[in-house]
Amino acid sequence: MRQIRLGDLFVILAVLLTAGVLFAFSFLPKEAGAYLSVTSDAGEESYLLSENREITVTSGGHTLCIVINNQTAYVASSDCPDKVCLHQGKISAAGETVICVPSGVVMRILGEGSHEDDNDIVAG
Amino acid sequence: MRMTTTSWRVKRLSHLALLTALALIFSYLESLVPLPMMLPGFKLGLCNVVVLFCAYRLSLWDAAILSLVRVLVTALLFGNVTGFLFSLFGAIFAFLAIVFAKTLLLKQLSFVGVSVLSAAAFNFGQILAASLLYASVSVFSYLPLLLVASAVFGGAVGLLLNLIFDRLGKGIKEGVW
Repeated sequence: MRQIRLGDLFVILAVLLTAGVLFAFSFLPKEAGAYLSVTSDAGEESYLLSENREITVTSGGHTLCIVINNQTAYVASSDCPDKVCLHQGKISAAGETVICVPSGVVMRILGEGSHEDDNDIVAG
Repeated sequence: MRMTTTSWRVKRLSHLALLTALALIFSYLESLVPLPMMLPGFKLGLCNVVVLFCAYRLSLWDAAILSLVRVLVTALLFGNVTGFLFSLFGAIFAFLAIVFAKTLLLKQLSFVGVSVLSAAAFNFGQILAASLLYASVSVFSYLPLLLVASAVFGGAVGLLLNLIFDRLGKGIKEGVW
């Protein structure tokens, strides 16, 4: 009664094509990051990506350990329940973010053009 | 006359309840069996079988109720708030895709196309919810993978539905299944 039709193939092709185009977009060159901005209960703090360091942030009743190493930033450990922030991986290009919902911590990479004093020029 | 209307309504209600229970069981089974690649958001979409069955055998309205109840109860039983929000957005977009397919593309698509379309819409909705929640567009980089998964799993679900409707079509009157 119901056989595969030409329209089905069109739908599958359209979905795969969209996936391909979106995938290609992810290869566009990104602006290199210069700063890491960390927003938590305590407000927003900016750190230079060029300086390796560990940052301990306590927010929303949870403690996160954020590491800046070799121009990339990531969450090294967290006592939040879902650990999604750990799995979001390392970020280094302007506009990339890691968000920990349970603790309300937002990590965002800022480009060279933006600085902690002029946050309205957020790159990306 | 009144008798028949009542019994029809009871029948419809019990069909909807049965299908909702089936969708919940599928959701539960999926939460039990993680896929080997185990990326969050990847699901076989077995409950799509039930939702699409409901949309085409009962009505779109019934499918909307079923979808909503399924998302709500799944979140209450085995999910969390974030997962609920993602699924809710996904289910709304998937439903819109089904409405679009059933009203405008009824003759052009078999269940394979409808299923792939609704799976893709579901995943788009999930990602949209994530990008709103995390206030970031970077989650969209995850969409291509999810779309490929929609084409594969959605296609499989569609083939299954083609089979189901093929078998059910024989000897069973429309509207009574």
